[in-house]
Amino acid sequence: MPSFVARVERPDRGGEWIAYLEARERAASAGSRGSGSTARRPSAARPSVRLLHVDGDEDALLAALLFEAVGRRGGGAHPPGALGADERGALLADLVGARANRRHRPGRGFEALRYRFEIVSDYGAFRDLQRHRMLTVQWQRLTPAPRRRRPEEVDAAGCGDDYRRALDVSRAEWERLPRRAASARRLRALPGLPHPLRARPQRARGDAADRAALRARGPPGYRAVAHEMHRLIGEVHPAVAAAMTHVDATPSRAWSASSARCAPSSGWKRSPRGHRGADAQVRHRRLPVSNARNHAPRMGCDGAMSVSALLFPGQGSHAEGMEEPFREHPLLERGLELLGYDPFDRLAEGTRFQQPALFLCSVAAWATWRESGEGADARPVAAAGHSLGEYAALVAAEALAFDDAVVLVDERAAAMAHAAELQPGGMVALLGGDAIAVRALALRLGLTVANDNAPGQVVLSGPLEAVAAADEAAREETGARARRWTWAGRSTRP
Amino acid sequence: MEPAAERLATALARTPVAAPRLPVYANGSAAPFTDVRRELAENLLRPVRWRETLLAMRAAGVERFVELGPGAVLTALVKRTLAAA
Repeated sequence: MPSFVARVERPDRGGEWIAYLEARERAASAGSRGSGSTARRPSAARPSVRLLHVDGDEDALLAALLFEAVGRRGGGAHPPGALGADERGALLADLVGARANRRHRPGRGFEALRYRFEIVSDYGAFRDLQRHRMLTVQWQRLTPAPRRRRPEEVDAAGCGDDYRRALDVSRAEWERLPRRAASARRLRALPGLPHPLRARPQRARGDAADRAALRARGPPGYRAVAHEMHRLIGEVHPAVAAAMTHVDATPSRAWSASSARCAPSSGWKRSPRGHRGADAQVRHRRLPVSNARNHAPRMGCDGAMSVSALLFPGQGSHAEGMEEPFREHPLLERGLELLGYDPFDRLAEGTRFQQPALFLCSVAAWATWRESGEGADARPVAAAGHSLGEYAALVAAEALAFDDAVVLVDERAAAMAHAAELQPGGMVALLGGDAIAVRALALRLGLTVANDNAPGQVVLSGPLEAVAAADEAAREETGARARRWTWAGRSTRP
Repeated sequence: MEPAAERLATALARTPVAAPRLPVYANGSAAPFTDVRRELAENLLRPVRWRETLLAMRAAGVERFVELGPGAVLTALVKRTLAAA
């Protein structure tokens, strides 16, 4: 590709900016020495949350929430008379309304309140807080200082030694870094230092109580932090905490290797999964580190590289929570940035969001598989993806750049959701039965064979009435079990 | 799905595509992609020939299939297809 714009080399570019940052850093470290404060080592394995400072009170919040409704100059500057605690709570509850999730926002009046927290947590919890934009963040230098206590899950998975070794390597590398290069931001970019980083006390500022929307999902560290923030807000502003009705206050689930969610969700997860017994065992052994499952007609002798094909799933393989193992993977993060929305929050809305979500997870699973060395004995010679999975396969084969593929998948999802709206249709999976009779049935009803998935697993698609007719006639005419669903998002073939 | 395929073709036309580093089998042909842009758009309108894809890869010498991504749908299809082969 010809380049039309050449970058002019200017050695001083950025120099002023760096000098400014350095001056600020010097002043800050001199200041911190003068005040006698030293960085505290995080002492506990559990996250800690302290509420350092609160701005505003509940009366000011009520006044601010009423500001827009008052409609005269100075309106809302004063609280609406003297209210008792109960009245205040009731009025606030009315103004906030029934929030079902963090996107139901009660308005900018909440900016009348500000909270400043100091949070010490593991890196996973921290990244979630950051990614969900619950807080604006000031952070202290990150170090690979080891946890006092190794997470039980690591030992349970038999990786305790590897974990300790990885920390040792990280620490040794970190100590080799020049002081300035070890700033948090740079450190994050080092591939050798992924997870076990420990966030030193971070000060986080809650811009508004509204933002402290606590999410039900996520690893226990994150939930514990969110719950503690909610509790602390409740101590100073009980009505505000009570108005956060969308908070799921149930305690954190244990987050172990076996609890990575792969619950059958909907659509065709339930149906064309013919023989459950054989593959169920494989499925339950899933580790969140890598979703890779190997199915071998193994021919090579042990230890030899096996000639492998990489397979990437299509729509229908998605499940709520599927992104959890890949939350901090750079590819997933990059994908979310490019999309500009979080498809994992909107899986229930159909194909429009299921497609980008599944694509991101598949590519992250592939990258994790390679990076972890799990696929070290596999020699990939081919790749294929089922429907949407083709895009992940082409990324793996470097035919498509990841960034381009994200944009394509987003466009594909939008185009297909739109087409399904214009021309509603349905699909029916036929399981078992006589293959020739199945094709004859499709022909008679004007249905198309959308997927020829496996022997005895064919999916037909077409107009709703024809799909309904096939559903009814299947058993008698073909001996197959039928399972039907509409396209309104769920599936996508013609 | 025709309007969707057209829209996708438009998007594909402005997407850079490189030669795959390993053969990627296309759903519509059960054979390696030869023209990625054209086939990706067409595949929206064509059946997914997954069973034949697996058989073709097996015939090309693949000994092991690795499913990368959520769920285990494809693993089940591999077992079913190759058990019957």
